[in-house]
Amino acid sequence: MNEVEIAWANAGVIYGLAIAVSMVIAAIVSLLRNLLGGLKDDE
Amino acid sequence: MNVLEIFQGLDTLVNAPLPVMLTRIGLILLGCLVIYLGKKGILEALLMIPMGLGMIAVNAGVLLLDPITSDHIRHAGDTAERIPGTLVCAPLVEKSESLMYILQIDFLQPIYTFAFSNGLIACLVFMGIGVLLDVGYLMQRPFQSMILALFAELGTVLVYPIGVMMGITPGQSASIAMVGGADGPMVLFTSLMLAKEVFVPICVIAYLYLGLTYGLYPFLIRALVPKKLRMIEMPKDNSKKISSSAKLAFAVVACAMLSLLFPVAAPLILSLFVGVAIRESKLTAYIQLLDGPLLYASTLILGLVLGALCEASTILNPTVLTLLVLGILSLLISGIGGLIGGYVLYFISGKKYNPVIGIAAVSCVPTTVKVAQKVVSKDNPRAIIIPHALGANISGVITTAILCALYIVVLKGS
Repeated sequence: MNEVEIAWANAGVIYGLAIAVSMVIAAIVSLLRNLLGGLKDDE
Repeated sequence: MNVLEIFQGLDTLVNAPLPVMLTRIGLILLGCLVIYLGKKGILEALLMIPMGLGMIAVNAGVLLLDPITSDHIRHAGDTAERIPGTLVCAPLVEKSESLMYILQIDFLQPIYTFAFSNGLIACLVFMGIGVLLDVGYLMQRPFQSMILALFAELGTVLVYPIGVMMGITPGQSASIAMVGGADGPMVLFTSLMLAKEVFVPICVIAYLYLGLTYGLYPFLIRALVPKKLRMIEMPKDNSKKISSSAKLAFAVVACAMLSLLFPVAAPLILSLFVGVAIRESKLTAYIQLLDGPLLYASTLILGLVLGALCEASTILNPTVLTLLVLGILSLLISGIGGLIGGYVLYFISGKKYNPVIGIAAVSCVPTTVKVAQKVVSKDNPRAIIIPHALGANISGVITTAILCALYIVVLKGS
């Protein structure tokens, strides 16, 4: 793989990881909201 | 005695090589323009006025340094040659002995060395931003907000490989791609970690472009979202129901989790969430300190030092033109990405979601929220999208921090 191909591959991996971590955070936020007296109804 | 030898700024200007002379004049004029645009409110005055003055002073006030100082700056050993320079700051000096000497000569060197080159100033600004964030908007609709924020990071992701294709290094490319995240401190932090040699032009470009979002994004919204969709009214907000305890718990958990995953960005993560935690703990004295003196002092120093670092020799770097193109491209793609995210939610919600909210996920706090609301209000004064837009905006700060950390982790070792 040349440098450009590596960069595209890295970009894909980085975006995939960012999506995964963000969704985990969203899930934690949702959980906290429901546990600690936040909104009870789902968005 | 030659008169020019008395007025050394003029002497070094007229005797400089033509490209240097033209660049110095150009930067002095750019400094004037930046101050004018700051005063007019087109660019962020708090940052641009000190930055503009810094640019003017550092490019006008060039003198021939004495031989000892010249040696320390050039690392050239004991020669008698005097080189042109300023008494403001020498960012490229790294050798301890030379640094100790320059710290006693250049007046902004202590601030640069102890607050800039280690990213402290970015962290201080982030603490101030943390105090301003109400994470309740994010907590009310976490998945929606995060999805929008991820779409609004398209520029941050796509411009990195595009930059490598254009011939700059992966570190430089990732740093300029961060402009798409629209968070100045994050661009500063990433470029210090990955592309220290060009962090000055990258940061100057970033802050100038971030100021342009106010003028650029309304056109983008009007071009990509038809009036009928811009007028969509959002349901009433319930964010007040999120308790302070829940918000504080979120700050604690998110800080712990992100620090655990990305220790390399722990300084930024800690700074952001310490601000959020202080706000939600209602520590009034700290809140007043962080969102008043600390945020303003940091912004003033940031502007002044960035301006003072804009010496002709730094800006004459041949990669600057590429960085200029990539910076605006990144911001543009992120804006388009945010609107695509808005459209995705529009269709998922059965055409009840205002797609303009997507652009607020470009996390220029709070500019993009204001821009989105302003455009929507012009078409339908009853449409209030601020609560939704703020949720997306705060999520944007978090996703940009995640991408900043991922870039540093992936690219620092390569």
